[in-house]
Amino acid sequence: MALDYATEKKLRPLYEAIDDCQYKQALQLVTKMLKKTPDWPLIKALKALVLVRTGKENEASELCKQVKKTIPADDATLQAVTMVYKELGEHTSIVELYESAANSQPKNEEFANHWFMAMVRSSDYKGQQQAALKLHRTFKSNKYLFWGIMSLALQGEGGSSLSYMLAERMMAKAQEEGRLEEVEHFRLYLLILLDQKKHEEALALFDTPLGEKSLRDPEVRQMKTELLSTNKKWSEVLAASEKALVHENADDWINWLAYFDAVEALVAEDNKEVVNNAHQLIEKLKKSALEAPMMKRGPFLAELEFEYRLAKKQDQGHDQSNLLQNIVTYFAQFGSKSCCFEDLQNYTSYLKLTPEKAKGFIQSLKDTIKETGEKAGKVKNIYKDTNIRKLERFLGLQSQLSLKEGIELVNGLWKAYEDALPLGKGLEKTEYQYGDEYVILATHILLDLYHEHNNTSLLIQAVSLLEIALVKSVSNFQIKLALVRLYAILGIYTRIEQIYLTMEIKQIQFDTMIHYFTDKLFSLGCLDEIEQSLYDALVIYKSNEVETPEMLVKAYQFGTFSKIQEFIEFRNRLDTSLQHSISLVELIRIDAMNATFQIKNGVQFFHDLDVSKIKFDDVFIDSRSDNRDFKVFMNCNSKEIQSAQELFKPTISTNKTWVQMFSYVFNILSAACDTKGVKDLDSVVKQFTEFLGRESIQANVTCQEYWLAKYVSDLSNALVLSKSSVKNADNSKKIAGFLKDAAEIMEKHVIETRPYTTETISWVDFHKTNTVLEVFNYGSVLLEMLNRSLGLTSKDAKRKAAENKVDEVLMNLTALQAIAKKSMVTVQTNVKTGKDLFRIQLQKKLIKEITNSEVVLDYFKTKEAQTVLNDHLKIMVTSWALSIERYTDEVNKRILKM
Amino acid sequence: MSLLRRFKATDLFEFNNVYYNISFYLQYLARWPDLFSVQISPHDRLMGYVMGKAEGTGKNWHGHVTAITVAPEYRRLGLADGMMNLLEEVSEKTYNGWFVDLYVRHSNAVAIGMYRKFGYSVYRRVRNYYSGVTNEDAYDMRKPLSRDKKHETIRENGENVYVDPEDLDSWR
Repeated sequence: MALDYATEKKLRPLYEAIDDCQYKQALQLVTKMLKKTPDWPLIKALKALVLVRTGKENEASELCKQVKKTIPADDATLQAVTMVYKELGEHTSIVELYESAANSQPKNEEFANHWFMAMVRSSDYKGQQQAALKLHRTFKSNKYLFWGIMSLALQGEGGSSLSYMLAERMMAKAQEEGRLEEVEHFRLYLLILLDQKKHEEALALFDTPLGEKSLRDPEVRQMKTELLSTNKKWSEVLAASEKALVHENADDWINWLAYFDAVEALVAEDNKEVVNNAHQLIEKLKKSALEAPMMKRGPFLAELEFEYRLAKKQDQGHDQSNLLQNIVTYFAQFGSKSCCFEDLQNYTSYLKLTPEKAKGFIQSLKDTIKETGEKAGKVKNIYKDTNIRKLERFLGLQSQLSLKEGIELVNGLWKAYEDALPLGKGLEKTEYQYGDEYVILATHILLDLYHEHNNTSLLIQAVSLLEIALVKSVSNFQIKLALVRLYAILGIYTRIEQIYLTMEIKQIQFDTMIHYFTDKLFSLGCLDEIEQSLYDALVIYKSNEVETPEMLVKAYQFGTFSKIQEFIEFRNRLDTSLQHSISLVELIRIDAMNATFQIKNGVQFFHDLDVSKIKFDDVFIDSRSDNRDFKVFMNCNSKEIQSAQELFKPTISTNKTWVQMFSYVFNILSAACDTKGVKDLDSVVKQFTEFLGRESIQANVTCQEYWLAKYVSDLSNALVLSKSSVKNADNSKKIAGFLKDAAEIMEKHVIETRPYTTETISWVDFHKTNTVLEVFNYGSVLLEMLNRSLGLTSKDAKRKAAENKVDEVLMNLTALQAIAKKSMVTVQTNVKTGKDLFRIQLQKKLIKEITNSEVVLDYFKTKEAQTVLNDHLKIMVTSWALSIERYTDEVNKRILKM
Repeated sequence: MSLLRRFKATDLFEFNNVYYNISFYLQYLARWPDLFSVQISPHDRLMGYVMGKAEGTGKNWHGHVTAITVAPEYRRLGLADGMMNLLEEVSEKTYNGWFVDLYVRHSNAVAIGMYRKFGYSVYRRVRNYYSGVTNEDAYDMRKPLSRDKKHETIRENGENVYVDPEDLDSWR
């Protein structure tokens, strides 16, 4: 129902005001109109829209409730109310709104559609099913039937086997009645059967006319081959995959795997011929690959896979020289492709056990490189050499090197990089230099040595090499990721921030990649910088809320049933993102650091803090989805040792345990500062204490973080007891005990925060300083609440308490407060050493240290290279100084207020 | 050697060539799920993808390549070839289109050469199709499908047929 001309004219100024965000004016117009016609639902709805956009959410919600009661059935009102509800996140109210509209006008197909879609958006599968059923009954369109069946399947996926059965029955009936027409209908039927693991029935489905038609789709063909495998119809698998390989794509790995699975199964059934046939098929496809204009590696890699499988089947003592020979031949052919290293991993990894054999193998790969004068050939040789070096690393030939051997290897890699540079003269700016990976591999070795010898000079040189390479390959993200992590280890944030900006992280990468630029950096004091990055990143979660449901709606509209579960999974993974929880916690840490230098502000901050999104229960934490991309980081290490990504970081990455721990801390602080008495401090403290007792905790956080948690736990336990109605000696003793424990751990850890020196300078030093600050902040708030609970609110009372030499609680409280104060003073002294250390003179000192050390690289022995290194050191020293400056500010502010 | 399969929404989590918002990718998946494919390496890494759509009217009904990309470490393996084949096959068999087309920067000689090798020819040159700091013309390249027996949908010397973006067909 569109608005009539007169009404439209009357309302136009109002709509325009809203569109132009002139809410004050819009509100005036609305008030005037409501004076004349106080019960006009549309105007009320528009008023609600203005209210929600001006932050008056409760009023808006109330007004919408009134409108909803009138059961509006005109588009304008429905749209306005829907907009308000969307902005309020009240999806179920939209459902009710359209349900009423659809019921009041049962013949209105559009309303019923809206009703259905409202439930799609709010993931109400059962409701969807009912709406679809109603739609189908009234409007008889097949589309609605399948919407209903899909909705049933989703309930089945949620655990209702009855729903699957019902869906299957409806599908069977639809098939009988000839209602299945589209490939997507067939896919829907298939997914209902597959979800129930009814593999035979699923396979039978292909024997229908629609099944055959669907086989035109390559993915459906793949599904059929897979189903044949699950049903162990090996001869058919063999035939189908052979057909696909010969006639469609000899590069199709899925079909090769299916083919070999079938061969293995048939051999076990004593069919000897298949092995010969397989050899013949490989030979045949190799031959045609060799004749093709662009040679694909499919049949050649398939040959390795087959040899590998055969060798594995035989006795341990079986001679694998045949496989090795084939690998060398493969390498001669495809060794210049970057993916060759990845291709060969599986087939060579057994060589790790015998270093001598591995060395021989590497040598035979090297022998395939032929000197050449032409450029294309030279480039190919660089790629080949890179792959060889990666395999060397993978086979363990680069591990446990002595310092001297390691440095020599790095020198060699750097030389190889420099030799490759002239070949890349004509490259586009966006392209990578041919030898970039030499540099990355060199830094992997330098980092190994660093972990072994703890010599900062190794790390600084690694950073410098990467920075130099980055200038020549400005968009090489592998270089950037390696740099970012090395800087983090060194405790340098300014370059991380700059590199982040050049990466143009966007959209979904905000969930998967932001951790490279924020994780554990809070400890470096760069709060404003990470705060900005984290806020950038939060946008993706809002996009998911707004955009993904609409795309689900589209999938239903286009009848793309094969994508619906997938879209739901996508939406859920973002909805329950671990990174999202991490970001929210980090933002609170930042806010808290900024808000708590004065105790009363700290108390106010935690009093006001909204912890509704910071959940700490196991169910919530377990259901977080870790979407962070760690795989993207170049790794050539064998599976037996830690991956490069794990070695390239200052400490273990933030994880579920960490999130849970900090979520507890903030919930405790929030409950401790609660003045209304609605929050159950007692229970959360109890759970936290139990949580900290779990075995796995300490392995997943740093010892400083664990200390922080323990301190909060002790103080909050004391607080709970002090609030208890039981006041007896036993209670006092317990309180005193907790305070004593807190004092002890504080003392121990504060001593550990050492003064800054060049020998050890790394993230850890900053982390220690920062943790004392953070502990002091949370501790001050809890101590204040404890004081209040014990009635020590006036200065006088506090003074008297401090002089008390009898009461165990008061004595320990006084001692703890003294230690807390001392902690700030100690940090102040340590920070002062940092301030003195991180000056321009330090650059010269570090350069000298590097160039005089046994770990100096050949490259840095030249004056020219030292100038560049000096520039890099300047950045590092400046960043360290900035971190120190920040701490100095924070510490001084706090000491001033003591 | 790789697994060529349909692109899944959840592949976006491992996707390092992100240019657009969620809706952009999901709307293609919702509407043309069979024209959006991804190539996976035997070690489960995303090597490249192709995304396209079916559009047009009458003899202009065709498959369109919206984007095709291969990660740097997987280039020069003929992956683009396999992905284009798949898109062409689906455009022909499922959508019964007349041709497949794509737009390419007029300066991108490498890509143009590659598409020619795949059987594409220039149909026309679109002035300033790519706008930015400096504008650039696009080649609209086409390859006829078997339905176009008489090759009516392509032409020779398309390089010299100029057209302005605003004169392109209305479905764009």
